[in-house]
Amino acid sequence: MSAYRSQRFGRSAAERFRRGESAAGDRAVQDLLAAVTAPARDGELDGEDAAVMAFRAAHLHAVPQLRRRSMIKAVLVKLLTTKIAAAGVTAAVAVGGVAAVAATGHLPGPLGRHSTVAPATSVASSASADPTSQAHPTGRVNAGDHDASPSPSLVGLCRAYTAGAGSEHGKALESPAFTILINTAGGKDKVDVYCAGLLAEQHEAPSSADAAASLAPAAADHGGEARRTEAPSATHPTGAPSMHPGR
Amino acid sequence: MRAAQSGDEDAFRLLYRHVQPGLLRYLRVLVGEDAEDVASEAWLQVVRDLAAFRGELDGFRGWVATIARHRALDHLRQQRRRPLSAAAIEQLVEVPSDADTAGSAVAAIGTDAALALIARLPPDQAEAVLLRVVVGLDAAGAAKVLGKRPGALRTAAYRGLRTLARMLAQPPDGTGQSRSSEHGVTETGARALKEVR
Repeated sequence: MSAYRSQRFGRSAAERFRRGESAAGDRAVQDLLAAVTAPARDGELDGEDAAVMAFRAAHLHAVPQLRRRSMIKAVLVKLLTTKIAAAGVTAAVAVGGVAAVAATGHLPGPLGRHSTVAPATSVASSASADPTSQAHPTGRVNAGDHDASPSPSLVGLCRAYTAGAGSEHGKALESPAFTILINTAGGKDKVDVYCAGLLAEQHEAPSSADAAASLAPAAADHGGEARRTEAPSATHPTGAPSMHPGR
Repeated sequence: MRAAQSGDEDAFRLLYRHVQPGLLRYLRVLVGEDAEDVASEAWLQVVRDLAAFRGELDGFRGWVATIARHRALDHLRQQRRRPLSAAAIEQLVEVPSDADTAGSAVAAIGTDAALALIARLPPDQAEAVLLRVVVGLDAAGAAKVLGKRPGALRTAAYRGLRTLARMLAQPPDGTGQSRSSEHGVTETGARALKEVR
């Protein structure tokens, strides 16, 4: 069967080569090459079962097999999936935390610029003293959250996903925690590529990517502070003049 | 190809049966009796990275051959042995055939002897011939595996075939350019080839 298959499966390149090259016109050489390309003999496919086992172990989308498994195994798999999902969430939180630390600690330059910007807008709006001054910073906060949160959490999910790559990689994708990742990547099969790209980006330009991720929360935080300090409104004028010359 | 990548075991089995015999024979010439170990290592890597592979069957053969070649070179580096050493070739010929029936025994000797003869070519010619004939790659694919340009690959394969033709035309004991330590190989090869014919 295997012999039939392998012949049907296009040895054409080899055959063309054997017929085409002038030296292969030699009958003896043709025989030799035929001997070398003889169908698989006993022993040559001994590794097949081992390879298939490895294939099964490594392979992700083992859904049909999953149904055939015993209940105990199914439960174990589920537990494992939950663990991986938890790991994913933890990783996402950790990355978020790192972003927050970066925002407060490591990036004084951009942070300073933003702190001047945020109060300035609130000063301007408090000067006009209309209710939109309340709405405005709130809007900024929300916008900030929206810009910032998908990127670090996707990175975290990707890290969790690739960390589990060797083992239960594929089942991990079936857990709800990765739904966002799958949707963003545009399909389960695209997650690999998407994550590889995303993580490479992070790796290549950590400063710019992290800065982009951490800038928005920074702005949001300061917008929030500005809004809070605005309410007493007595503290504000003292802050505003000192910041204005800086601009 | 697609089915195997999406987890179909039967499809993977077909791929394996399609690629493995040629791959193993190629590795026999590179690493001698350790070919099967090296092949299993290569398959482990193939299985691990299969989902990320992009390409058709021809590309797959080339990809697997590249992986196997790297594993073989690692192996040789570990063993501090030069590729295509005389010892490896002798082991190769002495590998006992697992075949049970008389018919396949003849075929087995023929294949081993033919490989032994190819193993006597200069390494670049041997690899060029094996990748093209045994693994079944086209010139571009084989060149890619070896990191050569297709033109260089074609030349090496052509020279390899010419040399093989010369070897086959010579009587076993009158091998002027062959090394005397390999007489046993030559004789076995010639005898086996007569049987094949």
